[in-house]
Formats: sequence, structure tokens, C-alpha cells
Amino acid sequence: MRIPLANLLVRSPLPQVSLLMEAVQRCVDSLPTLIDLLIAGDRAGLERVAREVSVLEGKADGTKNELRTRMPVRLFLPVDRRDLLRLIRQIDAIANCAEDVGVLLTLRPYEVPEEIEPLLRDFVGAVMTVVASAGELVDMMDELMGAGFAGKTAEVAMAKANEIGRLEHEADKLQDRCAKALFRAEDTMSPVSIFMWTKVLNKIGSIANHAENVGDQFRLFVAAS
Amino acid sequence: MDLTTLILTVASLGGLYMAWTIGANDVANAMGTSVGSGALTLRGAIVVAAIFEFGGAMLVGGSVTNTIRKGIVDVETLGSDPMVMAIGMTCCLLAAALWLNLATYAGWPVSTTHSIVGAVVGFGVTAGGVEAVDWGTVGSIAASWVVSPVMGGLLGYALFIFLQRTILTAPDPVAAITRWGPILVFPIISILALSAMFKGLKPLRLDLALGPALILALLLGLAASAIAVPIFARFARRSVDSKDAALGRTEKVFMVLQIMTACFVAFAHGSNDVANAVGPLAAVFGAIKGDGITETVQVPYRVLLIGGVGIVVGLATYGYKIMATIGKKITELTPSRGFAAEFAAATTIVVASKMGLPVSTTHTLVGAVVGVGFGRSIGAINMRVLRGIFASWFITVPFTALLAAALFAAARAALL
Repeated sequence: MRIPLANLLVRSPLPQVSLLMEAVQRCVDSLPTLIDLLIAGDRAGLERVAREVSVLEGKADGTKNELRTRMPVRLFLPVDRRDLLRLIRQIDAIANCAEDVGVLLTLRPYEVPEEIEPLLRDFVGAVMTVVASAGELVDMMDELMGAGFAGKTAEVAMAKANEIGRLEHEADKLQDRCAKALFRAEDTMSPVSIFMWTKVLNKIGSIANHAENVGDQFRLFVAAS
Repeated sequence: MDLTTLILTVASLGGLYMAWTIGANDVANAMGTSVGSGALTLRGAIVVAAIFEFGGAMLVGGSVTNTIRKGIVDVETLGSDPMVMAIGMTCCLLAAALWLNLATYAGWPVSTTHSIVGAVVGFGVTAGGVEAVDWGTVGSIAASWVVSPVMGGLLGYALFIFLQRTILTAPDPVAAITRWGPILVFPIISILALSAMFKGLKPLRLDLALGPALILALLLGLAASAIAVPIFARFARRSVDSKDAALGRTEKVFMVLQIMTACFVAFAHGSNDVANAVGPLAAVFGAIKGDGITETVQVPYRVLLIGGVGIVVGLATYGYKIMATIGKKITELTPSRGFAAEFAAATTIVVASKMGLPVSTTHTLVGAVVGVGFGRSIGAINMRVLRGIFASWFITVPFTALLAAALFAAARAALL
């Protein structure tokens, strides 16, 4: 049947970005559990949770791929297609980092200096806040599209992106304090242990960095109008 | 059965068939945006379409009809036998209808308008040679096919950006629509009234010159605005707590505006597209009635009636099906976007028909929707449809021209 008008409008892939973000957030949600198990020295528990995170990451990957296949070049979208693909990559990177943290923690037993424990919990908490904030921003996608990426809604989104930037900075500072605490205990720890701890801290920090990039990508959406 | 009756029967059936296709298919396109956004129910859309299509066809349909009938082919070159014209136009109807049927079957986004214009050109060249066709008129018609979607797109974009700036992104959308609603009613009613009265409404003897028509239309628009003020005010009185609820309420108002533009679209469509079916039919009637092929009188009223009835019957018998499909598929078009697209398309079509240019309703509407999409407000637009439309410009006209030429050559050999 020749119905050009019906074929002209296609279901938008944009709302699916929220689905991806939800899948990614489920991966990140396991982070506090991982840290608790690390501090408790429960290696079996770490193995189990790390595997769970890996499975969740695989699910997020599935959502990501589905999203990408729904974005053929012939679609005309209200946002730049490349920006949208970059956004998806950043969201996906959050899940990848969460998975990597899990893997790193299972590679070898870790000595946990007592001084680092509360700082580490604060750091992970701060990272979780950044991700949660990014999630709220992604949820605004629908509303932003409704408003044509302009006006009050766009201002609210920009404010959210600024907030994410600020929160990420907070997480950064906590990461530095964790690192300092780690190096204060360096004499009691093996060099390999220090090396691995640095990697873990950086990986957790990367989660916040990618969440911040999500905010920056939204800035581009709004700025393009 | 003598030749005259035969031709009259075949031509009438062909015209009815064309009108039926237009009703079943084109009208669904014209009304689909309203059904999709929820402004009209399927039943409501059919009632609105039936009334306003018929009205548009009967009251304004004349000017485009004249172009198709007389503007494209120079009747002087066809010789003195009126049967040439009668048979030729019958072949045009058949060729166009056949092509439409084929394209519909294959799913190509072709236009009824393009089909019939192509067919008439093909007939003209076969009957009177290359000089018989007024290539200037054909050129301006062909140009209007490109201009009308672009114009619809520009209007749609401008209108949507305006709505977005003034209403949708306002701190208080409900207050904004209360203020702007009556002002938006003004152009809808004015343009609708102007298109009906300026050189239209001949059957009611209300066809006015531009001056009086303009004044009357503006007055009608002002009156409608005045009536709209208390209606919008009453609407805004109920308070809303959240921003989302306010936007939802604003979209509700747009539903009302969209119903008005849906009537406008149906009217514009009737005024433009009925000519595709009845233009050639009017020529057949004219030739056979013995007025000669140089007649200059108005299109016979009962021929317009055939077109109007055909459209409504097509809509009622098959249009609901396509409309239901369209309505389901384009639900992502909110009332404010639908309003912008419909209003832009209808205005473009009415202006084009007033100038005697047959344009494609569907293509104009598609152009308008894409224009609104450029306001970054529509989730996703399938650009492949545009390519299909673009391709149909190059295929439809040559194909129907060849088909009409072949049919005419065969009929001339057999009957004359």
C-alpha cells in the first residue's frame, strides 16, 4: 500500500537510550557490594559478584547493539547521529569499567590498609552519585525531545550537566585522598599490591569520568540548536 | 451501444475510479496526522473528511479542473472532431488509474496529480504533436511539484519554531496558549474563508473579487478569534500543578486547533485533488455535449458532483483501513507538531490551487512534516521516503504519458 506519510515517521531510537542507561546502572549498582566483599576479604563472594556484573554488562551490550542497529543512516534524527553514537559509547563505557573493576578485584588477593576503608567507601559513594546524576540526565531525553532541545527544559538539562561536572570533581578529590592513604601505607604492602590498587582506583575513577562525558554529550545536543 | 454512450460510460467509470482511489488513499494521508496525534477519532476523521472534501471539491474545485482540462493541451491543434478530445481524455483517466493501481500494489509513493498530468501530456503529444502541448504550463506545474513540498516545509518549520518559542518552551505554556490561541485561530479561519470566497463558491454565487473577499475573510477571522477568546480563557482557568501536566494541557488545546486545520486540509485537498478525477471527465462531457472543444464555460456542476461523491465513497469503503494504518503509525506526532504540519500543507495547497496549479497533497504534507522535523521536534524521519517521492517525480509522468499515448493510439485506430 502506498502510504508515504505513514512510512515517513519512524519510531525514534532516542527513548531507548534510557533503557541502555538503566542496564548500565544495574552494573554499577554492584560496586558497593564489591567493595564490601573486598574489605571483608571474601574472595569467593568477589568471584560471584564479579561474574554477575559481567553478565549484566553483557546485557547492556545487547541493548547497545540493538540501539545501534535502529539508527541507520537514512534516519533523520533531531540530534546529530555521531553525537548520539558517542553518547551511547560513553554510557556503555561506564558498564565496561564496572565490569573491569570486578575483574581486577578477582585477579589476586588484596591487602586492605585500614586507613583506606572509609575513604574508599566515600569514593565509591561519590562515583555512584555521579552515575545516578547522569542517569537522571539521560531520563530527560524524552522531555528534551518534546521541547525540541530548547527553552526551559534545555536549561534544566544544562544545569544537570554542570552538576555532574561538579560531582565528578568531588569524586576526583576523594580518589586522590584514597591514593594518598594508599601510599602512606606503602611500606607495609608489596609493590605488586600497590600497583594493582592504583589500577583499581583509576578504574573506579573512570566510571565517574565516563558519566561526566555523558553530561558533556548532552551539552552538545542542546548547543546544536 | 453507440460510440458516445460507450465513451461517456467508460470515462465516467474511469473518473469514478480515480476519485475512489483519491478518496481511499490520498484522503487518508491528509487526515492521518490528526488521527495519529489523537486529535480526531477514526470515525470523527471520516466525518470531517467527508464533509470538507465534498465542500472543497464542490465550492473551490473549479480552477484546477480548468488547468488540467484546457491549460496543458492546446485544443486548437486537435482538429475539429470533438471525439478526439473525448476519447483522449478517457484514455488519460484509464492510464492514470491503471498506473495508480499498479503503484499502489507495488507500494510506491506516487501522486494522483502527477499521474493525470503525465497522461494528459502523453495524449496531447500523440493527438496533436509536440506543439499541441503547452510546455510552459507543464513546466510551471512540474516546478510547483518541487516548490510545494519545499514551501510546505518552510512554512511548517517557521510555524513550529514560532509555537516552540512562544508556547511550548514558555515558563507557563497554558497561559501562553491562552494568549496565542485566539491569534492562531485568526489565520486558520481567514485563509480558509479567503480560499472559499475568492473565485470560489461559484455554485452559491458568492465568488468575490480579491478585495471584498479579503475584507470578508479578515472579518470572519476576527470574529472567530473573538469567539475563541472566552473558550481559551475557560480552558486556562483550571489550574495545573506540574510542568508536565501544563504541557499536556497545552497539547490538548492544540488538538482543538488541529481539528480546525484537519477541516482545512480536507477542504484544501478536495479543492485540489478532485480536479485530477473530474478534469478529464469534464472535458469528455464538454466535447460530447457538442459545445465543441473550444468551449470556455465553467466545469459542469454534475461532473464535480461525480468527483465529490467518488471521493467520499472511496473514503467510506476503503479509506478507513488506510487511515487506521496511518493513524497507528504516526502516533509520535503530537498535536502541536501535527497542527504545524497540517496548517503549512493546507495553506500551500490552497494557494497553489488558487493559482490553478495542481500540486500533490501527499508530497506537500510530507514536505511539511519534514519541515517540522527540522525544528528538532520529531523523533525520527525516514529519509528513504523522500527518495521514493523524488524518484516518483521522474517515473510517474513519463510512464503515464506513454500509457495514455498507447491507449489513445489504439482507441483512435479502433473507433475512429
